[in-house]
Amino acid sequence: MSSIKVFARSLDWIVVASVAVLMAIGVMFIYSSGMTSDGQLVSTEYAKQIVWALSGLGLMLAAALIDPKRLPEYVSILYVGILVVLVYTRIFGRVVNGARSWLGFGDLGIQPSEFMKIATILFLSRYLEESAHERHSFRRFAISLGIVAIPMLLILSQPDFGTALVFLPVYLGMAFMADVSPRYLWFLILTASIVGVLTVMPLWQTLIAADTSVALRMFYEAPYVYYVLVAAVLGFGLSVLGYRLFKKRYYYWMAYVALVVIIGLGASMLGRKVLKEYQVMRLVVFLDPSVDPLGSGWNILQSITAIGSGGFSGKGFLQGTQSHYRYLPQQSTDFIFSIISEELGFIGGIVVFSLFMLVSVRLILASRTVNSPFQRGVLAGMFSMVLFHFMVNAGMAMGIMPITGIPLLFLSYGGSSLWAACIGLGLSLGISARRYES
Amino acid sequence: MDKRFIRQYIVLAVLGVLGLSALWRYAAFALAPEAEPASGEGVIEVRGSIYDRDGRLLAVDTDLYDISAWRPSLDPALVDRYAGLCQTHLGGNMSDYRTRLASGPDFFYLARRVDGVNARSFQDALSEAGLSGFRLDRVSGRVYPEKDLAAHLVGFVGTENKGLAGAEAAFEDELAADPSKARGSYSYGQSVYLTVDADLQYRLEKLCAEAMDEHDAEAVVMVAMEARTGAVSAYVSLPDFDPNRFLDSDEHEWLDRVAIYAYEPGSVFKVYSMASLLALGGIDEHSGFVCDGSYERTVTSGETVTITCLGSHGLVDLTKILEYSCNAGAAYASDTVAGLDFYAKIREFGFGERPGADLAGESPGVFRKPDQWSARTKPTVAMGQEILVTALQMTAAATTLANGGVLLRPRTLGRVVDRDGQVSLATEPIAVRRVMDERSAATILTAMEAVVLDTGTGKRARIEDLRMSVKTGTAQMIDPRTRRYSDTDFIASTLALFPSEAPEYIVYAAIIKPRGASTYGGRIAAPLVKDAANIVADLYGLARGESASVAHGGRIMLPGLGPAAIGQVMPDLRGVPKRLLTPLLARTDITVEIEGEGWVVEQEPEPGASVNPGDTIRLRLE
Repeated sequence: MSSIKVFARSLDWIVVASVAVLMAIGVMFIYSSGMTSDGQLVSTEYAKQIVWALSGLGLMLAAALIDPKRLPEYVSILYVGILVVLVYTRIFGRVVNGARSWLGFGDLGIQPSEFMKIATILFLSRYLEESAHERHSFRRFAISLGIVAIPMLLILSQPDFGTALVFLPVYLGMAFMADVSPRYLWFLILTASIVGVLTVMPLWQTLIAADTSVALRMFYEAPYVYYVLVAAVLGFGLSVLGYRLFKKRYYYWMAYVALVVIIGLGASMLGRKVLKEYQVMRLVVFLDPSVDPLGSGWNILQSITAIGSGGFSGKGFLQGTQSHYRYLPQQSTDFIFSIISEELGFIGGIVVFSLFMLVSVRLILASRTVNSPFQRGVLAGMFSMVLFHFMVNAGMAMGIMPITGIPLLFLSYGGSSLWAACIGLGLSLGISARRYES
Repeated sequence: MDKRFIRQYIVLAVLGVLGLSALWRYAAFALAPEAEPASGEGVIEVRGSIYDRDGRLLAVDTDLYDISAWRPSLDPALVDRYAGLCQTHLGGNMSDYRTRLASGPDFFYLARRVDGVNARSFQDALSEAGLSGFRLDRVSGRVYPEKDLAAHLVGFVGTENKGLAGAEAAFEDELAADPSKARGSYSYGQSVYLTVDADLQYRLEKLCAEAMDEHDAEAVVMVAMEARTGAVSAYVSLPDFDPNRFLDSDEHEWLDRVAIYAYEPGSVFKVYSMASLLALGGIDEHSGFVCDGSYERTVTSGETVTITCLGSHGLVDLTKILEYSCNAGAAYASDTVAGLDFYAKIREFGFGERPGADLAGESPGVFRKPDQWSARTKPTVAMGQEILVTALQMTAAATTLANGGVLLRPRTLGRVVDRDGQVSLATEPIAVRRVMDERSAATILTAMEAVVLDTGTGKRARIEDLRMSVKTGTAQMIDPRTRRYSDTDFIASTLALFPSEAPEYIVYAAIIKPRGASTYGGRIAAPLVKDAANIVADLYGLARGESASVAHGGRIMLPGLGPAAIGQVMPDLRGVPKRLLTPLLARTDITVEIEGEGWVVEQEPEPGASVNPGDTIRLRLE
């Protein structure tokens, strides 16, 4: 009994309270989003969300009770188990919004990909801890990246671009904290940036810049791109040869750059093949939503209008016009931040912003005083995940991030995402509560 | 502190800066009064469209494509295949493409200003065939969907979409987009509605083209005008050109023969010279003159002026002068008034001055002052020579006959409409001046009815069940080489007002330099005007003896939709989709309530009701 008391005293109630407030705000605005202009409630999403929020809080506290020292024993089975479920979902799952991402039992359904995030964080933490003294730094990088890449690619193939994207910052944050060599992380960042930029480049050039630059065309237009690719491969080969023969550092870096270019170009060519134009359009339209004001740019323009019309203190709860006239799309999920901004104004936005920052800062502060590398990894992973979700979702609502369909944790409608976040945060709370135990 | 921690702090600091800048951006959005994008920079300017009076599109801005090729990327072995694709999708000549593809500079244009459909099909064909080396650039361009229809009236634009001719030039200020009033990243010019009816224009152009062909004429002009308003319903000047490719035409085709080309009108002018004499009191409807085949008069200087007539008409009065087109009678009649009075009265009909028909360029014609007249001038002007007029002047002057002696200004502009559909400039009939009294106008109109009798020169213009007031003419033309009247060049013309009891339409046609079997106005221009009058009467449902039909144009106008706006007066929002209602919700002075989804089916208040601050607008959508 006393151990429970001690535990209760050391638990970070500020985080629990922040999450509870966020959940409450979420329920409020899911309710608001289900209201039409003439005051009719057309959606019962809010009622389901209440159930999920309460059970989520329970799950969070329950997860906090799990002893983090015993956690590593289960993470392998958890990781593999959910991965199997994910494969099953990929093949037999239900298609919702164009992605085969749901595993349903009648009316109920879960999105295994949400839970996969937590399982991956746990498993990766364990691997990074065990491999801390691995002599081969590249091997450690490759295996750890593989642990993340497998579920990520599976989710990407559903296709659920947004959820898959979350794995990248989570990996970067954790690998950074676990001292994976920065040159590999930079490699990943650079390659990913090149892929991202080059994939959307042709559409951006013709549609938004409307003035195609010849210098940039060689990176995406056949046949120039092949020339560049061949040049990069040659450069890489020569550099490797040079390094073998002369052991000079700069050969190493030349090969490094060449490899970034090769993989970046190759993957972006693949990306352009796989992605349809309207999908790319969604990613790039935030740069200038007015090129397609009634199509892809619609969401962003309406969201910005909602934020702008909220002003400093908002129009008041249930008074928003953008939402109740249903101009705002996906208002209970992806664009819930816009309704909050419209009805509660800048103040409401700041409250949400502050609560997320509070949770993030508490997580990162806790990680400084945790000794176990495994536990530190979990905290870093959760920190990255919470921060990335918030920044991308809020940025999307403001029109400064591409539309990727990443929900706002704890606020957006949806049980899987909420439960997964609660469990992950609960484990983190458990870790931080026990950080001074011997 | 070890290096690892410094690194972590740096990363945290970067994240913090990112977070703060996002917050800053958020504050900018939420706290800015209205998040209107800055105007001016990067604004896409969309020039206003030109419509006919019923909203049929005559000129519109669109995206065109310049297609260029980059030789180093082309495979020389595939030239035939490239050329084939070019020919299929871009038009033009295969062998021409082949030569241009085979050699020349590295960078060259294959085709410029290709419309979107063809450009896309070309692009699709290229990517299907896996060919590269071509490139499409989007350019803003003007398209004239009706091609050469009313080309002289509509005009064309040059580079940078600036109007160079026709309505494009005349209404440059209205059509051009004003970037400082941009909405979002687009700035729209106003739309211009002309008075012409594309339907009538098309039919009359076809008719004139047939006449031009049949009589082997150099040019044909025709103007159809609403007699009570001065609105020009058809503005035909052949040969014409395609404003989409105006550079393929030459000055002969560009010349606006309605308002710019000035010529001696010939006997049709007797309508106005006789009307002048009537108005001046020199003659009345019973005045008689004897035509013995010529007009002869010895002036004070001793010189004898002789003008021969086409026949020996005997005793002629006003009606007979017009009916037979008697030159001698007209000349004798002109002796009843002083030269200066005659000159002043004819000027009052609008000759010698620019009509002011909202055109980019108009000719005032040439009418010399009496102090420059010779002894022959007055009787000669009375029969329509020694004065240069435009077809527009000839037509517009006839409004005096239809409006009890009052001259109306001819108009080609219907209205100017801004992006929201608000009319910013509407035209109304403009009375220029009273030229004669009502009785004189009625007298001339009645006299002109005699022209279609079997004995009249205009019998070929007669329509059995439609009363028409007609005058024909065959004008001599000065041969610029010999500076004398030519033996072969004539202008055959006919003027008609109908129905005579209360004229509603004026049709004027002139066939310039016909080379066919006949060159007489009564033979070739009169049937042309008859056909035109039949078309006008049928199209606008004039009451006629035989036809009991009540014609309906058969067309329904669909205005283009822009975002809804409510001004002082409630607009008709029915049919407006919900997405276009967004701007209304931003209004703080009025409350707008929207019910349902889809399109507006009911609205309160009704269209036309005044809207005051504090009002509530209810819209029901379905």
